[in-house]
Amino acid sequence: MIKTNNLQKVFRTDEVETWALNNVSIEVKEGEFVAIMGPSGCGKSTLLNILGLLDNPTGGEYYLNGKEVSKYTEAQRTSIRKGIIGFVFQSFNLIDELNVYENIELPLLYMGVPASERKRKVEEAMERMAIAHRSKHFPQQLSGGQQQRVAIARAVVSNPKMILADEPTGNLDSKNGKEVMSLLTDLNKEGTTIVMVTHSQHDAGYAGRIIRLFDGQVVTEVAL
Amino acid sequence: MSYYQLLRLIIRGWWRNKLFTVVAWGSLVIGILCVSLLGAFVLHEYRADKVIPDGERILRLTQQVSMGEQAATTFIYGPDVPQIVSAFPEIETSTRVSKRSKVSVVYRDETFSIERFMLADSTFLDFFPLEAVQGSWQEVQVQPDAIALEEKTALRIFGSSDCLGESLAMTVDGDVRPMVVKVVFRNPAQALLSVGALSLSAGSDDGEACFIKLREGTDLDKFRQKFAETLLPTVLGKGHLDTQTLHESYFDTSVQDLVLRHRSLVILVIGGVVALLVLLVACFNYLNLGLTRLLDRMRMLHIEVFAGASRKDIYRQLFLDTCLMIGLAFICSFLLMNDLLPLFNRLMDVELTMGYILSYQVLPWLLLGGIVLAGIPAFFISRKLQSLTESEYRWFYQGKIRRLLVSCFQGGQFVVTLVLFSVFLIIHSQLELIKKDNLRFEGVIDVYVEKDWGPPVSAWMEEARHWQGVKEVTLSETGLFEESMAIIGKSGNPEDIVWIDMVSCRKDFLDFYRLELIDSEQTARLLPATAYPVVVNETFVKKFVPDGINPIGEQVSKYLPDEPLFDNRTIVGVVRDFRKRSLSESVWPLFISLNDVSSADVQTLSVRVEEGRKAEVLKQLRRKWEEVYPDRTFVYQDIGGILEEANRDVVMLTDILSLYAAISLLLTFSGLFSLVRYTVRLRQREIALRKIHGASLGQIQWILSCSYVAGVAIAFLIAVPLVYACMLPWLEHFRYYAPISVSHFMIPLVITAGVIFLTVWLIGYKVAKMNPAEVIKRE
Repeated sequence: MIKTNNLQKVFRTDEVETWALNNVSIEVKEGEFVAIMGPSGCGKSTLLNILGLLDNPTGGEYYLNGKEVSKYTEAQRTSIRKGIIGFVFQSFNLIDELNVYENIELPLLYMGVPASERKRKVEEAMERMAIAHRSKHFPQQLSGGQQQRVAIARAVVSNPKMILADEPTGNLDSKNGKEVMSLLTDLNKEGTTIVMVTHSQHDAGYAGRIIRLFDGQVVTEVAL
Repeated sequence: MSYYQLLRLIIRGWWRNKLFTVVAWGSLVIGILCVSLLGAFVLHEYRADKVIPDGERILRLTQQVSMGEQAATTFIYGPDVPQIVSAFPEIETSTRVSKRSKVSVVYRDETFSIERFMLADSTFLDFFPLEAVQGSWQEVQVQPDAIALEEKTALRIFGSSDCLGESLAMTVDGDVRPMVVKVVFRNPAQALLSVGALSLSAGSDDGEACFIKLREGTDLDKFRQKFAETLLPTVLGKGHLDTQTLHESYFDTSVQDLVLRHRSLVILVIGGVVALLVLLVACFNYLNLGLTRLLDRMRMLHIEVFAGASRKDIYRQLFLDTCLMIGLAFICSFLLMNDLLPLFNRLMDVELTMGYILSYQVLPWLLLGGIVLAGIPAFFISRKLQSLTESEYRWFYQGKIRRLLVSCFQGGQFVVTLVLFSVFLIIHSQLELIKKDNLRFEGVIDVYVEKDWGPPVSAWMEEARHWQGVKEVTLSETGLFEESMAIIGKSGNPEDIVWIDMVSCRKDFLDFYRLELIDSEQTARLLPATAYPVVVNETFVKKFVPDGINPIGEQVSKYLPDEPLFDNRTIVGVVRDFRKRSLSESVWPLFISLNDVSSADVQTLSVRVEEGRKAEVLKQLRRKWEEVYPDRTFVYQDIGGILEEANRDVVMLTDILSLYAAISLLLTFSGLFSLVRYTVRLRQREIALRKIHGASLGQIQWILSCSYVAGVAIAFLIAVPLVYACMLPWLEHFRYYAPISVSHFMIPLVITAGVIFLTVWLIGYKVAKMNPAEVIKRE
């Protein structure tokens, strides 16, 4: 599903040049659960942003479902991203102005899904994440675990082929963290490809493979 | 995303940021309201002549009558007009108009004064077509006893405009004549000529104003040149006649004119400039608040991008948000405008209507302003910021150029605030000067009686002295304001005319008007021993007495030998100059003849009333009047506000500026509050780190305040010369003015700086008190 060849990302200012990614070549097959690990500043989140088509690499190639997308414009990236990729973040990133239902509905709105289908899909996602009883609540009225469940529901509501998760348990206690990891595992079992950035060896244990980065380079790849 | 969903998102966003929304929206409402009102006023007044049909073919004839250095007036002698018209085939028609003062009517035993009663030729309506609400103009044009009443005047007298055929006893210049109401009319909203009542068949041989209408197709400039070169003879000699367009006439405030209304161009220019300044403050405020609020929304926008929102979606959302905010502000400001219009009209002496503001003459300009106000920030914000990340946005806001931009916006606000505040204080000082001068006239009412009307005033004035609410009374022939005479000045040149104020009064008149004698002991000594004593003022001495000579004890005829009126008059005192006219006019020489006026042909009773008891005293005066002079209408003159009326421009400017300076301050401080909040938020991490390393609360407050200190200091340095350069020429056009002082600049500086520091301190205190560990973790 994902293949990168010598992916590079360089941040340049007038005086400093920082290599966030230095010739990263990885492959993620459809249905895989991959964890990306490494110390802070090693380029994990940068890689995830490029894989999620939120940013373009400075060099190298990125194949998504067989298409080379590294030179795509922002508009092209947006149109490909819709419905294919879902995002889950450490800080949940829910919109405070929208309630649970509306937050989950958001990707479907941008995809132009008809209202009746939207309603069905959102209700399904809420049921699945066990947050239907909170549908009218706003993010600030929910616990951290509940907020992350809403974020996962939002990520899966459009049935994406891949979910990119950036430290999804980073802000949660162990009980809620375990619940979130179970949800991601279930999704993976249903066929969704998952790429997760994490610091936690425990969470990485849920994945099928661990890629370790150091100073913007892949240092090891371990299948579990 | 549908518009309904966008709307929901936007409104919830507003609700979450209630403070910002209220401040941004409030400043927009106030800004739009003020700018719309002042903008409409400027357009209304500048185009006042345009609403008169064929106004471009109408000219006013002028004849500048020299009154020496002291004043000028324009006057056309009525019988000259047919001769003038016949000399120029280009003239289609003409009309003469004169205004009568002290006009009153009696209806069902009740007396009403009539303001702006005009006598005109029957051709008047060809020039100024007034809309007849009731009746036909034909009858007014042919019947000498027919009168047309303005709608509001009719309402005041009859309680309704349905008054055709009603008879009135009208007193004009002391003569009573019966009149019948034949027309009720309405003045146009933009009236150069505001009429209270009109008689069209009486002619106006006395002359005053004269208008001519040129035939269609006549070249206006060529005609005016030809007219000027013709040098028609007048009673003053050849070459005194000239022409003015209605526009020129409206803005010519240099001459005394009873017929046409005039507007000072200075007020219009200042009004326009103030409107622009407030608009600038509102725009700076809105931009600053918009940029500030964006930080709160950056995260939301990025989440939307993760969820699949395209650039177009974000652009649409931001644009709709801005347009909606400004659109709502527009609607609210128009609703408020409807309520505030009467107040504004009173303040500016204008008759703006919502109909006019919503007309094609004004609305397109206001909408254009709105589109610019909504469009530019919306375009800028939505195009530029949608692609930035939060950290990039911070950088964008903190980068050199942007920081300069924000500093300029903020500095501009400070400059405008300081300028408006200082200008207000300077004009207010001028108003204070007028008020101080006016103290001697405060609470004074004059009542004027002629000998053949009945018993003289002197017969009952002692009774008036003991009425409740009366402080003091005095008697003179015509009061302090009515009589003057022109004489040839020291040079002997006939063009060198000097006007002298003439007063004939009892001795207590000096005390009544608090006139200050330079050498009161000498006056007290000479007074009992002098047969015909007079007192003059300092200007009289300067004009007529050789330098270094003390005129006290001397005969007036020694200095003015050619005037028989001054024979046998001895100067017993000199009073200090005092002003009784506009500050633009110099003090005239004053000649006060201290006589016993008990047997004078005309007597004027001056009554000084205790504060707040004017109505009560007037009631007693009226009762007494009706008892003593039952056939005469009770007419009085309120001297109390005479100086403020003569200096109406200054009063109006003070009113406008006090209002707009307050609004500008409000806008600036509300904007500042949000900006400081934002800036402090951006520096939370820095503050936390400084605190960890030992910075005290005071040091943190100083770090936060110092950029504002620099801002205010620079704004002050810009504002001071700006105000000085603008206000000095304005002050110098007065003969007398309150000089610009340090306090005019320091008070605005102290207040502005005080509020700024208070704001910074309050917001900074909250941040400085936060747990630095928490802040660093969060940031």
